Amino acid sequence: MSLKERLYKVWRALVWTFDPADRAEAGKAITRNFWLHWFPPRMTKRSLSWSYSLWLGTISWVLFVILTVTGVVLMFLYIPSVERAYWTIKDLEYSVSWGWFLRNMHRWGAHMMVAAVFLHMMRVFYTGAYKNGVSHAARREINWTVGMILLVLTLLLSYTGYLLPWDQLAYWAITIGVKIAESVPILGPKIKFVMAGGTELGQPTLIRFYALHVMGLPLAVLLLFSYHMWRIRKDEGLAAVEQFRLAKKRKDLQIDTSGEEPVYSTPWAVRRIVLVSLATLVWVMFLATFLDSPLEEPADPSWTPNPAKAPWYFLWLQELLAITTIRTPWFTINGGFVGGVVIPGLMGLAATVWAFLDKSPAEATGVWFHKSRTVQNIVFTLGVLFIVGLILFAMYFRGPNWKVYWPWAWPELPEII
Amino acid sequence: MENKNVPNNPEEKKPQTPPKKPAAKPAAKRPKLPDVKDDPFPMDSWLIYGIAIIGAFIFGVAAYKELNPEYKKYQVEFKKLIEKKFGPEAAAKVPMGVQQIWIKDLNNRVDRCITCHMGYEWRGLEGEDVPEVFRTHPDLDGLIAKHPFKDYGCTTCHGGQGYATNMKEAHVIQKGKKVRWLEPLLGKEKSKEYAFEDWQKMPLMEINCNTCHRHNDSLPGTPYINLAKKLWNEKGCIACHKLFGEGGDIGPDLTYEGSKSHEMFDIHAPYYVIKDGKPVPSGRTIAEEMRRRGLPLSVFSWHLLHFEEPKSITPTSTMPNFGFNEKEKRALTMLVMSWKKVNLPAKYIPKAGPISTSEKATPEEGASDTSATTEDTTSQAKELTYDEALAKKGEDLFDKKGCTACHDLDSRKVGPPLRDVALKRDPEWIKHMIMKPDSMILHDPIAQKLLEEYSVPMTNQNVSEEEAKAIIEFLKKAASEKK
Amino acid sequence: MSDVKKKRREVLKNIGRLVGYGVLGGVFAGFARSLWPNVLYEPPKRFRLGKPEDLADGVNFFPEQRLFVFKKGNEIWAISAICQHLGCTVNFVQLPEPKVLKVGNLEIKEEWEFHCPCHGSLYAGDGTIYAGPAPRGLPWYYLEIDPATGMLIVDTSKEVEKGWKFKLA
Repeated sequence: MSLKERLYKVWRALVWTFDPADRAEAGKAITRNFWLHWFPPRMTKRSLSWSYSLWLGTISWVLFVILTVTGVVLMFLYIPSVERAYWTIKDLEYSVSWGWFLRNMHRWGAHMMVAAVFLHMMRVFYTGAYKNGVSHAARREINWTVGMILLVLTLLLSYTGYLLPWDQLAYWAITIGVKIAESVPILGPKIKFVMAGGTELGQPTLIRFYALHVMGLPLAVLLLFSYHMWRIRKDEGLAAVEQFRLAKKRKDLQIDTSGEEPVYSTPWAVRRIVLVSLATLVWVMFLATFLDSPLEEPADPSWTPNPAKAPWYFLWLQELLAITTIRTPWFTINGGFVGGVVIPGLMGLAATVWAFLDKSPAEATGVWFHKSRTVQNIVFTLGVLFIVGLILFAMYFRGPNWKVYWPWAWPELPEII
Repeated sequence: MENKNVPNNPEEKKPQTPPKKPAAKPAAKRPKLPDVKDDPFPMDSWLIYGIAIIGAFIFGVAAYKELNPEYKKYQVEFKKLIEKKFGPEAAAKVPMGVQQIWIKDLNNRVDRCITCHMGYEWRGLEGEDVPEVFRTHPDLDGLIAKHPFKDYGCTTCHGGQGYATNMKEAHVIQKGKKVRWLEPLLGKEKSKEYAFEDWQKMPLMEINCNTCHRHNDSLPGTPYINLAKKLWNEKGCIACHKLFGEGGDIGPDLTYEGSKSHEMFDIHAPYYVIKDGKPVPSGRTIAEEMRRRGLPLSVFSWHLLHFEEPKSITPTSTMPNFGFNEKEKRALTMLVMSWKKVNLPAKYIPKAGPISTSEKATPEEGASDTSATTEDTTSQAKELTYDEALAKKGEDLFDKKGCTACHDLDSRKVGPPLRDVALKRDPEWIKHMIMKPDSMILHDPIAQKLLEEYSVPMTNQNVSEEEAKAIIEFLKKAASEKK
Repeated sequence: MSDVKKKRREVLKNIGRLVGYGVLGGVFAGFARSLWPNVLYEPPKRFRLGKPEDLADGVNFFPEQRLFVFKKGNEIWAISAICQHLGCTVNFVQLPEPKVLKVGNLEIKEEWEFHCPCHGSLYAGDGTIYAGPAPRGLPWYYLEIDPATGMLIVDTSKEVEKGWKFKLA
């Protein structure tokens, strides 16, 4: 054998699982490759179609990977100390080669991930994908619940990362966030005390948030994500396949079975994952290249920027807090409790148990906007619009002193000189 | 993890069967398994390659941004200049890339100004023919020998954002996208914005001189600050304002006035104009007034307006209008804005004594000091009659108009004690002194003598004739109550 | 599909693939480059020691730069305090009385020595290594007077020959 042939053999040994020669190899590849083993050998074309899942779950995961990679590099360059943190960010911006790009990718990636995970949840709701259809083994409600926890973890990851630059934006956004946590009845002050590691934000807060951000929360996400993926196998695939099962069982010719054709996971599903990953990466790179991350003045407890706003995904809570505080001569409604705890708590609880209470028929599983679920889709949409509306309102119409302004008519604040 | 469905080796290539489109089948029947080489998503490969090319383009843009920082062209330019002036050997020594002065002892200050301003300590680049950005720093052997670059950096004196490596953010130019940095470069541009006559000397920089040198009575090269300190003493500001725990408490404590956050200045409050001695709303906000005068919206402008007429900003203010001229307003604004809270390491604290304030009188001195200008004292036994209601009003005014800032009834403050004044002087004289102190100082020998003694002139507090009458009634009452 | 067309497709796909790897490689190269510092937060190699007359007669130690500066009469010289073995800071040891040390065929008159606490390297008073694992003696550094300020300046990036001393005018 020539050297070239030998090298080629080695190469094939490494890559054959991604490039099977025949059906048998395509099946074997799944069990032989660690990275493929949680896929079934074949998937249906509809499961892999753009229009069914919108690939939002994969996008979320790819964003998590991008965040991990950029995050690890950033860990070499960032110092979690109140004296140094801000200045290491300034170094990233001005003196570290590619520092600005790293930071931008990490920041925009994080925002994208919050959005992607939320959209993923919406997709699952609208397609009735937490339903079990006619499958006996499936317990998709569990995965819905896991997904809700992953959504909360994603928010917490983003939130803990928000503090790390230790600038005015970070400091006051987190101050507001911590205050919201404080309004939980009975336990609130204790939660705040533990979160901040004291009565106000300082070095203990920074190191706590840092440890959670780089270790605790990513680990939790990784574990739960693995479980999330494993459950898809145990639930016999994406909910889209329930349509085919149903058609087979009832011999119902009315059910749309286009897309039932099997597709080999390797190479075709893998290639699509590569495509989605690449597209996500390029999109984040695009944002990182053309949009700069904000960095305000160094954190200064002695003055609050006006207005001080929470990170955008918590803005709706801040707005709720403001508008649910009602003072009358007879009684006062504590907005921190009502807007910060009761309303979001009830909404979260309702969303989580929804999957267990949804009694729509099996046909409504794995199909967009099934007519039997119109009412619940409308209720869900109203909930989403409520949140999005409050966020947009608080973002663009709340000016200094939390007064309402047109976005173009904000009063200008003075410079020093 | 890219898929390798196309073998790299030609041997491996197998004849591919064209993909068969599965015909529509009855739903219940399981479709036959296709061949593994049948591509179910024929567009995917092309999409991958297309996106890869877009990605390459974006990465190219990012790489261009990374490899062509703004400072690079300055460094290339500087190298050329050095080669022309001192030859290639010297040019080879010009460092490239981000340059910084790091001062660990001065709170870890980092100044990267020298990344572009590379000629700062090259002797021989002083001339006008050298572009300003590369010129040698003036006074290397004087001022800079006392404040070496490696111990003070650049921004300690000049302001600006030391970390930044592009001009907009380093100089903090607030045009277009806001630069989030509180200390702008106090250079020519800024001085010009505030219409300083001598903007070319960058007078605003004196603020930073005085941040450390606040306890030096005067300092060479800081005419504005020196003038302001003189005014501070002459006008007796300490009577109302505290510095480091010393002084009156009628006005706010000014010890760290320069560290007050810009968020605490409400420039959207109404601006007042003085009509018949009373502040009336002008219909404009303070911000609008600043714009009308072409001033930037800033704390500095706020102080300028406030020194011009305190009541135009705070109508209830008891601070007198001292009639400062343009230069004096600027000087005082710079003085109060230089009073910042800074953490100076011991070795940076300048030598020399504290700023001298007007000689402060002890209560004993004040008590014994009533005989100085009493040539025309009329008999102590003179009967004094006064109107009780008017005197009450006068007492209010005495407080409200800020008289108490300088005068006490029984002891000497900035001005003389006033218990006896109604006995010593006739009401007409007192009225003039209250209403037109400036002209009294010019023409009245007693007023001149008083000024000589107290060194702080009486200020015009915009007191109307009615009010003056009331105050005189109050003073009569006070005199008649003398123990 | 003709062979030519197929061939063209192959070429295009290979280009696309290369570009894809190129982007990934580029991004990773950028990330790796970010770990290579462009600015250093270290004391400068050339620094001021102060006015020469302010130096004490005998030994002066500058802990931040790990440097011994000696002054005797109008002579000043600087010897590194960094052990040439593995970089520990050597201790200055004052001898009870001056002695003459023989190192090979060298005779060194000395009043003090430098002893490394880590692995027992012993240096003579002029920095010559005479025992222990260090491969070479302690380096001497260049000194000069800044004409503008009259301050003595040392440059630890400029080594000078052993015995080179700066003479005050």
